[in-house]
Amino acid sequence: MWFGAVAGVLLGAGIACADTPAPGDSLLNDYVRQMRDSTDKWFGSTAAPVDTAGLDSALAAGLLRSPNARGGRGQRKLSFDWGPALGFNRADGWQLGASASLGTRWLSGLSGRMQYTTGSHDLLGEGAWAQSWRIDPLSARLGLKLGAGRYTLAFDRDYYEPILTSLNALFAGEDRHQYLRRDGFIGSLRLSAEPGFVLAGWRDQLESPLPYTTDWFVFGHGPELPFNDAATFGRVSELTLGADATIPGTRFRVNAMHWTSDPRMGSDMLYRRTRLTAGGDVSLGRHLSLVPQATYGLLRGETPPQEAFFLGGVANLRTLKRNELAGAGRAYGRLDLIVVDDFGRALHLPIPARLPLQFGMFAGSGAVWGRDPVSGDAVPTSRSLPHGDEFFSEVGAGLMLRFGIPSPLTSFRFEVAFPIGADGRGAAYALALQEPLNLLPAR
Amino acid sequence: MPPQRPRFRMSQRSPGLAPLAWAALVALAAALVPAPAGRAAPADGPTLAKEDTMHTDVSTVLVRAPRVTLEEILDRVARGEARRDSMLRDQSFTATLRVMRDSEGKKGPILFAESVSRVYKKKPDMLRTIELRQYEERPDKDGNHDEVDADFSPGMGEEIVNFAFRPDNRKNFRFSIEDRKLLGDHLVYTLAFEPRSALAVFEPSGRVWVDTKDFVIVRQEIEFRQSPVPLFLKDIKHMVVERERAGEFWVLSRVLIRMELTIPIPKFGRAFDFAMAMSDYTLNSGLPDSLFAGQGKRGHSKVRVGAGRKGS
Repeated sequence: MWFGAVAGVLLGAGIACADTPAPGDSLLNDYVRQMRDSTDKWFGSTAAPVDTAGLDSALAAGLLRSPNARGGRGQRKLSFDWGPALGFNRADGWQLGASASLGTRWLSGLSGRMQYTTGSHDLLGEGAWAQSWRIDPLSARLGLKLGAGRYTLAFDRDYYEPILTSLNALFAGEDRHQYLRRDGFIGSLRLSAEPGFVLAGWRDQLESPLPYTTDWFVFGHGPELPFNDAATFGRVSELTLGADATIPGTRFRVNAMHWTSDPRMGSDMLYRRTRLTAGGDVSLGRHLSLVPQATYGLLRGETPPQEAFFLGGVANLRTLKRNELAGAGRAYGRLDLIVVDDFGRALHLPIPARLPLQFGMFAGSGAVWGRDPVSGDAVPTSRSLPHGDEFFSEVGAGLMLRFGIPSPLTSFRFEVAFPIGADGRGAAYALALQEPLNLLPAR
Repeated sequence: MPPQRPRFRMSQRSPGLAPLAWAALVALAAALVPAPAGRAAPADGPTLAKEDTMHTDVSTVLVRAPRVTLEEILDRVARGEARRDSMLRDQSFTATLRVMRDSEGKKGPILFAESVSRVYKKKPDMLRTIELRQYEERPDKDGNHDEVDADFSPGMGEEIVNFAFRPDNRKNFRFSIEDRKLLGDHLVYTLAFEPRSALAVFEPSGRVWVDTKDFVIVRQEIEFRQSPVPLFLKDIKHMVVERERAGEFWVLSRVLIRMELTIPIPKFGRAFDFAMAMSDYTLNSGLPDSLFAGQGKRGHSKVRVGAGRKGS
């Protein structure tokens, strides 16, 4: 009897082992299932399993179709998108027109734009094609852009934002950019991957000055600059080389760009324009971020005004007016200290839609050199660095309302800056839509 | 006191049961019926004997082996995920994409759009998607189904699960061990991660559950300190990425996200859910190339959720 009882227990245990998975797997599965159940409870009907009725017959029918037929809906047709293309500046006046893009899954990136200018009574237009290919061995992408046309651009090649500048010109007349016309061809080839990119570009364009034609803006008459500086006229054949890389092991990026124009390449102008920019962020705990950034630019050879480096305004030094100084060389550095937490929520401020409001302080210093003291234009220089007395410095503080568009870091910044040094500058307010690392070009 | 004999009797009217099985039942019953503590066993019930004459002490064992470091766990997870990826040659699954509106309304989540597809993948980059069902709460008048549209990547790496652990991305996150749980012969680590950059308040943070037997991620919960697009998206309230076991592999089974819009959309609401569920996996079943013939290479992954008509 005793023997029978022991044997029975052992037998029972043996049967149980044979019927269930390994105890460890079973425990793990139970554990995962428990968490899954809590997810089901939280999400409710969103997490309900799919109704499988009819799926088998749909699959059988789908397998009979050609693999090219996409789920029975057929190949995608030609896509076509269009929209208005509007702009405003004191050289062209209104730029009224439309833009369009055309493409299929296999051929994408055809785009075009056509505009009429009310000030200069001109027709602007541009056609472009862009395509990119995967380069698997490099885990990279190769992009090609080709374009040709006639359009208006600002002298400042480094920091120009057409939409906000147009709005500023239209409503406040405070646009301080100078404009030129470009006609011709432009193309670029870019190899980009996670750590950075390299690019090579070429353009062959006629550059010509534009007159000052439009002296009104919506809320007044006589814009802040009642003139438009004359660009140097000539055909420019220019080679562009550039690279951008993240410094390994850091959150710092370096961007280097070089533009070469030479009569030996068929150009009317001889210059070498180089720009180096670096920046990144250093976290001070979870709540503070230190954002240092610096840029250096040098123009050798001829100094056409449309190739100069500019200093002043929201792009760099707030206590100077936008593009107040121009030269053949520029150095600028800025350090931001940003409190990343939502300042508005902490202070219970009634901010619409609860956009994250951040607080920051900054210090900046910059100089231009290689400039004519009388005309203020850039002139050739042999110096590679500024003198100490050419620097302008400032400190300030501001609030940043983070919109997240076009990039998650993009904020609407309201800042007040105070000059350091007795050089006639005063405190200045600045409104800008930009990222903390605004000196680095977008990747 | 000698234990009393249990007063169960074998019934002669059950000839089908062997004496051995009856003995097992008796022993089981004896084990299951508890004896009242501190009291003499009742005269007509089973008793439980308690051995109180034998004692043993096991001395404390000092383990000098180093505990596995966080860095080592992260390395092994990266290797485990890479190994898992390398062992997969082909796979097929049923994918369900679902958008639920008014997630926090009185009626609860309401189905806005759903798409069910069977997806076939084969290395290196073959992909075929067969649409099985499309549902829209408010379809276009011309019958177009544009609300939920999914294109799958031919890859099987499941980046949504292991993005923080990929060698090229690991430096961007800070990790910590939050919990350990021993489940049989499985040691499950809960690892927390957050962006290393304080500036990146909009980047995902969260926790993952790692089974250290195979060093695979079995679950992930993601949160965002701030919305990546605050102008349109007020908050990403909850995001869960789940895997389930299919044979010897852990595979992506569900991605569930609840989001809240900054401005409510008429007939859609403010809070909505996005769910992606993968089920009925078959792995390494030797899918024939002919299944993919003419499909070409598709080197991108895209899930488009939209409304309205496309200009096509």
